[in-house]
Amino acid sequence: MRCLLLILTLLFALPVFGQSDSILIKKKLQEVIISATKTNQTVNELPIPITIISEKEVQEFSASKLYDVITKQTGIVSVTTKTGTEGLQMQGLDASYTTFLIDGFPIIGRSFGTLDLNRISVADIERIEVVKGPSSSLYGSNALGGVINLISKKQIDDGPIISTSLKHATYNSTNSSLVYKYKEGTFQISNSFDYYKTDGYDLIDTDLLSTVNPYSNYTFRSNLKYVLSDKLLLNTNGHYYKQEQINIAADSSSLLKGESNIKEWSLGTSAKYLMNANFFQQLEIYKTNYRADEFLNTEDGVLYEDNYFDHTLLQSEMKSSFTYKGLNSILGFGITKEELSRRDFSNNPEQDLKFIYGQLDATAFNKVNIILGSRYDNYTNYTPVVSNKLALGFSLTNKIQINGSVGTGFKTPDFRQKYFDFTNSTIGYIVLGRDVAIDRLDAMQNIQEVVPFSELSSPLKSETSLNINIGLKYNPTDNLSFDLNLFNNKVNDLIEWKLVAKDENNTNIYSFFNVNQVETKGLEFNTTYKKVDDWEIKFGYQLLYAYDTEVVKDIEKDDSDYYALDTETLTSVKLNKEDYFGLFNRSRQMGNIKFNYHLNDKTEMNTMLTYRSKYAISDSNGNGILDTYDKFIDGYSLCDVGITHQISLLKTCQIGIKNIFGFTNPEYISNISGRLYYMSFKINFK
Amino acid sequence: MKYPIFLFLFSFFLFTSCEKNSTEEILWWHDADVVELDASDFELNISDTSATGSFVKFSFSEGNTVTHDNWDVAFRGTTLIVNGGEKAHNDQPDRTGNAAVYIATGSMSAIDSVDTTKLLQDNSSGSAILNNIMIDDLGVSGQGWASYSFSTHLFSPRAGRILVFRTHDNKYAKMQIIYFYDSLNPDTGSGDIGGFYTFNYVYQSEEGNTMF
Repeated sequence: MRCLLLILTLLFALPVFGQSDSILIKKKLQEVIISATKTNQTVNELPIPITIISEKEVQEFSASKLYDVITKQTGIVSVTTKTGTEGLQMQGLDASYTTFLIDGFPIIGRSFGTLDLNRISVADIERIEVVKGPSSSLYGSNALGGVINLISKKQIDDGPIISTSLKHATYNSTNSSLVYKYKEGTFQISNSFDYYKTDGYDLIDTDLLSTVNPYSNYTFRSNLKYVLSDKLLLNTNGHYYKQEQINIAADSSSLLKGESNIKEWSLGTSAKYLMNANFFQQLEIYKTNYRADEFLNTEDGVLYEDNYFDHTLLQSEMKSSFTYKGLNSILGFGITKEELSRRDFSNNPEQDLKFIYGQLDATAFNKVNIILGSRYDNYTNYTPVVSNKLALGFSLTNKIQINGSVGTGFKTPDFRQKYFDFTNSTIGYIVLGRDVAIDRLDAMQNIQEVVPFSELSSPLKSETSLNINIGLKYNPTDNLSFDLNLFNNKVNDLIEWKLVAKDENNTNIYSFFNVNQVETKGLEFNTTYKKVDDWEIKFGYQLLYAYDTEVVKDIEKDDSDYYALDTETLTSVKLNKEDYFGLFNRSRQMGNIKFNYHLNDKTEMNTMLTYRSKYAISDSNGNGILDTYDKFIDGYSLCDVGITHQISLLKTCQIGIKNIFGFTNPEYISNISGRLYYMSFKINFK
Repeated sequence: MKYPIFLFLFSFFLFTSCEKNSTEEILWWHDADVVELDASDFELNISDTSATGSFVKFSFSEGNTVTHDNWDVAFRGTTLIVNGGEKAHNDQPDRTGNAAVYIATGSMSAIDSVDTTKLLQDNSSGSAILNNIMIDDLGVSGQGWASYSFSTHLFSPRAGRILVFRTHDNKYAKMQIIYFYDSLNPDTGSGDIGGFYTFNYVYQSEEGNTMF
């Protein structure tokens, strides 16, 4: 904490050094965002926490995939969840609570609720919009923590543009991309192709396995825009993605070999009808499919295990927008249909949804901004959910703005929690989805009831949330900005698996229940100081407290069950509130400093340091919670340095080192690979 | 423009120096008051969850493992049996005494007397202490002396769980199981299956005295 204060003091002192020789640029860039309202809005007017990652920022360290870019943002971290999959944590919320979109269309293919961000290419991305805080009132389920929307590049001038890039990095990683754009008057086409290949890496030499096996993937995206008349705009988006990876696992005695493949495609089309300057209507139809297949063979080539996952989403949405003076409104409705087919499922579940939403945002007296939104989701097999949002912003002066928002959100139980039928023969346990549990248990002999089976008869409820954000923006000069946001998220009826019964062989049988309530709260602070064409420094920090509210309540009781072993005295210690660290996988503090320096008008250097304080992924002393007596994973810092040189107007080269200190933690952190050198060239043709 | 670079490097230094050095790991289980016992000779039969291997017998009065019949508690893998009642499987040692057990919640010193009404003996359907300690990840059911993690596949003895025994000859003892592995960083992937018990205990040698 002490060192943090030092850093803060330092950064607040910074403008004093810089101000005297800074040139004030009067014209302020009006950044536009679409994700927060589903219509184009200037960022400054919206009273909710928003981050825009610009194309320049995407390019700075020669990023290939969304993972490389997004994990550099304040308060955003990629974590390995309890189920072993990796996903994004925002404001301390679970990885399944963030919705990902490309040009507004949802990305599917989540494994245990998390999305692999190394799948998403940023080759043709103009900006990434990050909306933190509840967005269910616009986007429905899975958006209770926020929305991340990737916006592809638009072309302004007529004629063709071809952009190529080639990157080579450590571990024999290659990334090449080719983007072809052509515009002629009312017609615009954009095709991008991105290919990525890596040998993977191995952090533990003593075993036969690799930490990441070699893989390659390619992404093809296509976009077609056609202005039929000054009233009618047509837009079509499509993409195809394919990944192939070697799959190696070890049995107790032998090595198993196979493949792990992913195929994904989407097709979306929209028609926008502009009745007049104040009113438009838009119809969208979108279909996407994600399919993963994997298998393992024994050394003799006999099939040992195979697995598949096939998810389809069909969505159709109609929205109308009306603008009048400072008032914007949007009203939309639509249907989605989801299908999943997967190994270890009792059937091929389907889910139908009808939804309607409306949102109003208005600016009054040039000082007050307000957003009022509501969405109604009607699923075929759950009780309907209403999500609301209210946000208010006041401009105290033209330099200070105070924002506050409150919203509700939800996440429906996923297919796994409802229909899973899984038997682990290695350790010996069975996991049953809530909807299939009763029938399966009834069919078993000599079952010993641990939880009354009557508790299984009612369907799972959605996880619901109440989120509050309070922010302060202060821009003393055009070059300096401070942004502070306090957040509090309460998530109720969290779905977890719980022991329900034991079968005649004493095998444990688990099913899913709405069990607990968690709360995450903290603050995020960002500041930027810029000396145009010379240097820029950015600092970001997040303080986070995340805990299970039941545990907090129980731990205070006299007869509480929470003890820990004091390893020095070898006695059991009854834990109190102060000993409870909170939820797994949450670092109390995260921070980053980025420094951008123009060596000359063609060359700039970027240095970035990110820090994450200690955390733990599992309980090490058997009391089920994370306490101060547990074993923690030490905090760590990562540092990247990159140089971008503009060879000529159309040619750029980049060189850099990621994780310059070569930090690794082979035992606990598998997604940090060690020092990485890269080099890339970008050439544009006009 | 030297300032920014200096500032950056300085804050850089601050950030990196914020990291705590990882605490030296103390080999705490080698303390003299603590018993270490190797009951790792077991194998789990996946198909019917039955186990094979040999039980390691322990006597509180002798403070050591024994091979004779006057034992109090015996260990094999995750299974604990007492020398009292009936055996559940043929491969278990014969019960020759009057031992019994229950699990109390509290710290070792807080459990200062025996609630004799809670004592249970083994019977033909299973041991008095749940022999299957795979309760669950969250420890919700909370019946056992250990919990199992689905993410690390490791068993952890639960602090605050004190095993209270009646010995084979009607004396009393309390035991706290501290550790289940022979490595400080057990890894099931590299073959750490456990069964290495580390525990401490208090033995009341006066017959009939239920106070510790």
